[in-house]
Amino acid sequence: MTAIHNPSTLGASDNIPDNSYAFCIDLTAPWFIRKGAMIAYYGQMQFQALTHGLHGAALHMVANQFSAPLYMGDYAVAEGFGKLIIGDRGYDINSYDLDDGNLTIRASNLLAFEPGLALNQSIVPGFLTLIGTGKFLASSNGPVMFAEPPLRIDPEALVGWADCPSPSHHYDQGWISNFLAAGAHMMGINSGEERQFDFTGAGTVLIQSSEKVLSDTHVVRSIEGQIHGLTPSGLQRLNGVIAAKLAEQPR
Amino acid sequence: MGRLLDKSKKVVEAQLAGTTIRAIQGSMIAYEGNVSFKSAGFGGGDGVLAGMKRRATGEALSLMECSGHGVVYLAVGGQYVSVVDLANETLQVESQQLLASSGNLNTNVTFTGLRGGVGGQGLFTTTVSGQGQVALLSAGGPLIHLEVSPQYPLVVDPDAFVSARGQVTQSFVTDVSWRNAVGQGNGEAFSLRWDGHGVVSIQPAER
Amino acid sequence: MVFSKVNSKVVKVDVGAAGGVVARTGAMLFYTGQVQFSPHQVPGSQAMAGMGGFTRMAGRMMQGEHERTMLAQGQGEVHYGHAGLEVHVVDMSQGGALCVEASRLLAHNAGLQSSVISVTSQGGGGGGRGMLGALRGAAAGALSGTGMFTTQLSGYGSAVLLAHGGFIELPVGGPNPVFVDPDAFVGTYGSVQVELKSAVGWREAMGRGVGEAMQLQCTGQGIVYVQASEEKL
Repeated sequence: MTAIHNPSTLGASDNIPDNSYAFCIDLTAPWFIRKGAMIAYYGQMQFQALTHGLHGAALHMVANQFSAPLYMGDYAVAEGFGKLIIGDRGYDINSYDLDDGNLTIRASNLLAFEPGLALNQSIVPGFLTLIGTGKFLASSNGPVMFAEPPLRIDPEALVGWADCPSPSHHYDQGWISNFLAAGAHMMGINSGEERQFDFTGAGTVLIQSSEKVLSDTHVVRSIEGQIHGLTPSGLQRLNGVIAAKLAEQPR
Repeated sequence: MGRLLDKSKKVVEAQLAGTTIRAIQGSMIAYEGNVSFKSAGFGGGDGVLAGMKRRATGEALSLMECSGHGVVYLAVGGQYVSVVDLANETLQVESQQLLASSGNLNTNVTFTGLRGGVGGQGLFTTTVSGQGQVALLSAGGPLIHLEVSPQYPLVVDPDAFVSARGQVTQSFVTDVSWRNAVGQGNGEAFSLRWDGHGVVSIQPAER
Repeated sequence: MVFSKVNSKVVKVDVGAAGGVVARTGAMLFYTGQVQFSPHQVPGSQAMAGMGGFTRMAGRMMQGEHERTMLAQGQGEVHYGHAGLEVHVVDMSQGGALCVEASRLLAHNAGLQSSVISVTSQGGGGGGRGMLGALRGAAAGALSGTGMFTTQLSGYGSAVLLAHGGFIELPVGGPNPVFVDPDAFVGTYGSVQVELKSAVGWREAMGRGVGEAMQLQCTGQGIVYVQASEEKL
């Protein structure tokens, strides 16, 4: 049997030894954690929802630091003392330190963060921006790779970016003309390669090892949030696009 | 005795030399030699419960017996595997996480009832006792072994629980705080609290 | 080696140095430099006239259709990965023949010759691979959807395989044949004959419940790649 852990062997906040899929937070002060992330704990802990039932210092903390209304239902505040073990669907979990910095991260990749960081909802659908100083935990499909711009990336492989400007869309013109020549474009065929995000500037891009996002309820929610701005013909058109996409799913 | 080895992080190798092992039906990915495969029921606790088990979990708990001379490779859905040696002790394990056990171990499956769980998960516990080897499955990453002692009681998400050994007792805790931690719809309405002396093993991903 | 593994799920390749890379559509994660992507057709894949390798009819993916591939050329570095599956680089610098389910092939250098053996084309008497395709088609129902196409790669270079849960490599050529669950079968390297066999008594091993169960019997000389999962890709 491999190592057996207990609260005294699990020291400061870090991954469980030899396990990139689980992380142990040494809880001494409150943390925001995504609901469902906790798999076990030692010690005395309380978990509070953000949407109601908060008071005092906790309420103050949430009001000041958590500015992402669409995501409030996804997080809880963990308070108390002990060792809090976190896991997320078998994704790789890593901790990052921001030092008076900023980082924009896909909401479904953000697992936990210290309240020294302020959380804002980015205008890029499905993404959140963390600002300030503190530690946060991100989960990713496979280990995170870091790269510097200029680069082009499959949107679904993107985890986040720090310091550089937000990305812009890039349509591979050569790819599109090949499609048109083959008449394939008329059939509504797309492969995924023609839509890329383009990053420039000075900063770091965080990339995960997969272009397949297992479930991205945040994007769906963000789209839902924008639907009441649409006209009936806009809604019908959206309906058609969704139906076509569903028809295209394998099996 | 059929010997169990970790062939890779996700594959168990069972070496048979005129011996038998029990494994989850359908977990064989490859084999060599003269090996025969037979249905082995549910690993004990049959009779009245057998019909219920079949209806509730379908194939998940059906076991097979592999015997003969050769090598059998076992894996399930890319989950991590862990071979554990039992030295005349008892191990409690979520039935669907028990990949294989050497033929001479005593196994008994008990129906732990619908504990308010969603989708019928975690209904069955297999108690393994004796001297031999078992291979455990862990979803989402390697198994995490956590000590339980009077000084360190442990609280665990039932969907992450895999096994417990030693002199440990479990209790079900239902409280609002836990519900806040797991969110609606996804998690169990209760947490598992462990006291006593022993080791509890959990997996990084919930079932 | 043409491809280098960045982590268990990602490989990277210098497209210029590789002389072009053929990869599964949608597998590009990110790239730097000047790289152009264009559709690629593998000889033998079922193609609609004038459509190249794109047989998607009105947006519907036909079951068992050969995976579409793309060619990357230019000067730059591309990172490939797919669906969080584990990758394995096969070194073909000494030549050889690699046979793999189309859905489990991530990428290879463009210099390798590739051809697809489909269910409908009998590969003649040449080895077990054509037979595998034909047999598989015949037993398609029993195997519940295992791919109808097998890609053969030969020449010099390297290829990247995909597997759910990673692989084990089993040598073929010992005194006993190696039997493999068709759902866990990824491919072979070398001169391995693969035949579909059925037997009563395998039913329990396969967990099929009813009907005869099939296994792939591997003989010859080489390696068979088996994934740590019975999940079909």
